[in-house]
Amino acid sequence: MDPASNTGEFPTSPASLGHLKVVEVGDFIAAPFCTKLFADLGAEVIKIEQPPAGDTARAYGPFPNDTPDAESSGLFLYLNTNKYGITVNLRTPTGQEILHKLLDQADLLIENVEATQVEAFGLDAQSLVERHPQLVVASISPFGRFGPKAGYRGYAITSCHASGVPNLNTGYPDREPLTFPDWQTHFHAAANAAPAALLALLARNRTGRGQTVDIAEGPIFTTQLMGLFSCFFADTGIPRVRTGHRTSISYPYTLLRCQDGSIELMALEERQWQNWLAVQGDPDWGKEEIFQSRFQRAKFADDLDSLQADWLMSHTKEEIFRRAQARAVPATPVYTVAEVAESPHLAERGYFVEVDHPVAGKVRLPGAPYQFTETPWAIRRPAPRLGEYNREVLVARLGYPAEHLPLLRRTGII
Amino acid sequence: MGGAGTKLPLTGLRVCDFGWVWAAPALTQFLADFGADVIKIETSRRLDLTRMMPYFLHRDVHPNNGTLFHSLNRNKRAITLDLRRPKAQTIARRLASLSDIVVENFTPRVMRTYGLTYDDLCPLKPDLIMASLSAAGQFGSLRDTVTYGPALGGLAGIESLTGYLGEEPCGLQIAYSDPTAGMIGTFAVLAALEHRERTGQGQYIDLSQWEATTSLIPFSLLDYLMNGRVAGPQGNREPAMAPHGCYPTQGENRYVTIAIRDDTEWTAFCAALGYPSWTADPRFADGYRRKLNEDALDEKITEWTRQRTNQDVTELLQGAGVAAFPSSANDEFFNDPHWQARGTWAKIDHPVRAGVTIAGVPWHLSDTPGSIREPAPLLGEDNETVLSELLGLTRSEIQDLADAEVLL
Repeated sequence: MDPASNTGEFPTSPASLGHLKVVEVGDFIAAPFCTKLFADLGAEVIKIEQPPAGDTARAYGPFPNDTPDAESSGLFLYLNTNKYGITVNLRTPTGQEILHKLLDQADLLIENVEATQVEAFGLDAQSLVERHPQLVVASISPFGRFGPKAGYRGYAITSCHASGVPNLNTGYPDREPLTFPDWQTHFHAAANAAPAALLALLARNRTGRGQTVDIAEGPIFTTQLMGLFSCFFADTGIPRVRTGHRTSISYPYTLLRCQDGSIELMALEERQWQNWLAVQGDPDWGKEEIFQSRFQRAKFADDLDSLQADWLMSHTKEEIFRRAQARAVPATPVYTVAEVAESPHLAERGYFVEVDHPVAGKVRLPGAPYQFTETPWAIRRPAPRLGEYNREVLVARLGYPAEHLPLLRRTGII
Repeated sequence: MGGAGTKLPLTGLRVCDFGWVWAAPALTQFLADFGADVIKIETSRRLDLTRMMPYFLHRDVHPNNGTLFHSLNRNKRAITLDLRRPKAQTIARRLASLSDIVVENFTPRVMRTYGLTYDDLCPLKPDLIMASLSAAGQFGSLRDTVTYGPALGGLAGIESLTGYLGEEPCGLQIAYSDPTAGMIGTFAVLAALEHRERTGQGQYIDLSQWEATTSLIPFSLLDYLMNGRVAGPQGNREPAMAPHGCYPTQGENRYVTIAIRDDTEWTAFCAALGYPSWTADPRFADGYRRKLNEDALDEKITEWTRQRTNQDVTELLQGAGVAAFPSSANDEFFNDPHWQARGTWAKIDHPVRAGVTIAGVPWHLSDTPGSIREPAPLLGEDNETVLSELLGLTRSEIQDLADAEVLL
């Protein structure tokens, strides 16, 4: 681990965002994943957790050997790589004083507190920018910080379903729509807030001033995934509705069961369908008139599934993948998390990385979502223990007397 | 607040966009919305799929009528080049050398074939920033994987998690990895730009849509990495919360989601319902017990929601501080005043037709907001302007290229 210098300045990184100072006030996934993107490219990220329990992700796991420990939660360890964690109770004036001292020197604040906490924590974005004119404040919340429903309470399932994306795409038409797995709207909003915040920082290079950035999980899921399809409904009022494991107007785009799981098959050109028949050894049924165009085939989807079942059930995902790709047929396996983790291709790519954590030990984590040639992504330190950097930040950097740390702890400030 | 005179943050930046369909076009859309001059390079020999997918204006199948294209490519300029031809490749290289950023999302051999890789372009523009958003990365045994966006989720592992509890995966049924790669790619490109503004150094970004998407499901991955567990579809359930689900309400295709995190919210929920006797069942007395008896709990809640509209449930429960909201159908989110107030959609006049509905500007920056200034380009619309103004070609030189079928 990098030792902090006596002045409380952390060593700057040669990575592309090493000159940035970021403060994170939030919980669970949205703000943490957003600042992780900054931290992993070298930015200094100070993560403020609320004492005494800290970030909710510490309680979620998964835990090695199913043994819960606030320092071994896999979700927390992944989301908080490279960050300097401190504990500060933002419901107290002293806590808010600490925050403002940090913001005096910061470029960016990312927050995802609940709507009911904005006032209590002193996090009104516009006020913060007025008090700290160089600061960019990016807020992530289920419904956003402005608009008629800005105060609504929401979790990932709320914002996901509110967006309309599940109802229109995911699940069977006669059954309830399905949320995107693993809190996707939190991750998705975070991955939008990060470039939006960088844009505001780039603007600051010209204007000299910060500004606010507001990201609403639900509406932005709509915009990004469904926005481009909007004209049809706007013009006709005809609703789009989910259609299960395949599309209804063209065959194939479908999931298909095979010997050891499922594959996804998509053929938009007839040449691809012909090649897919060749992969199956050119069965006679493939020559039927009714199967010659993807729109016609869609009317016989169940029949086609049955006709292919024997062949599919006697081949594995990998066999089908290999044979299909050899003929440029867009068929891919539905990998389980085990198959992703053990993928030889991802190993060649160096995608998974091993991080050594003082309590959790050696942990294998998903790694870089991109590879830069000059300023590479890197994990320089593991996720912080609760309050690990209180001394460096509060004492060395902000000047609180070292002997006050116990008092700050006893009085619930840290 | 920003206004008509506000300079957009990326004014003066030029982007050479070889992208097609969704991933790279989504990335360059963000850049264009915030002021970059994005020049999209297309070919009529292999039209961008979004030019040829319904919904078409005037119900007329034509490359200028595709509304998906209209949304993704507003604010951009477009030229046509048949990159199989050496003269087209030369023009493309010259354009790239006059650009700050190059973006593409082909399988890796395509740009190699055209002589347009970062290694080809860097000598012409040493501080170039280039980003490739391929399916599986620029190297590795599966780098040449042929696939469409919706199926990339299968490689990434997210499809295996999507389905009803205990059933076979039914998939997201949308090309989730495309916009995912687009926005993560935007972050990467802007980070490279930050670095270049400080150091003058450009670089190359190899982004695998597979890896970008896998980066969004750490919980399930880690349960395997730590404990060997292979997660399957969880329906609408969550590892900690109960109730947590999507419940049917009155009306056709009308549902509401309800999620309750702790005993405080549970008590508020029970109070809002008027404390029906089942809420006092000891099987539901704390979060652990609610999770263990989730099936029974969901049954009781479903009986209650079935008798109400999703709007009534939402109002009642939000009023009590409980997270409830419709699982919005097409008309519900489209007509939601909150979605409208947030500019989720925009309307633009296009040469083909007035009043085309497209996605709004996705990010709300208070002082330097993005904007939709120009409709999506017609096929080859900017050939003359770009070739003459940027590359200094004369009218007759341009005509020669057209005659030689370079500008197709």
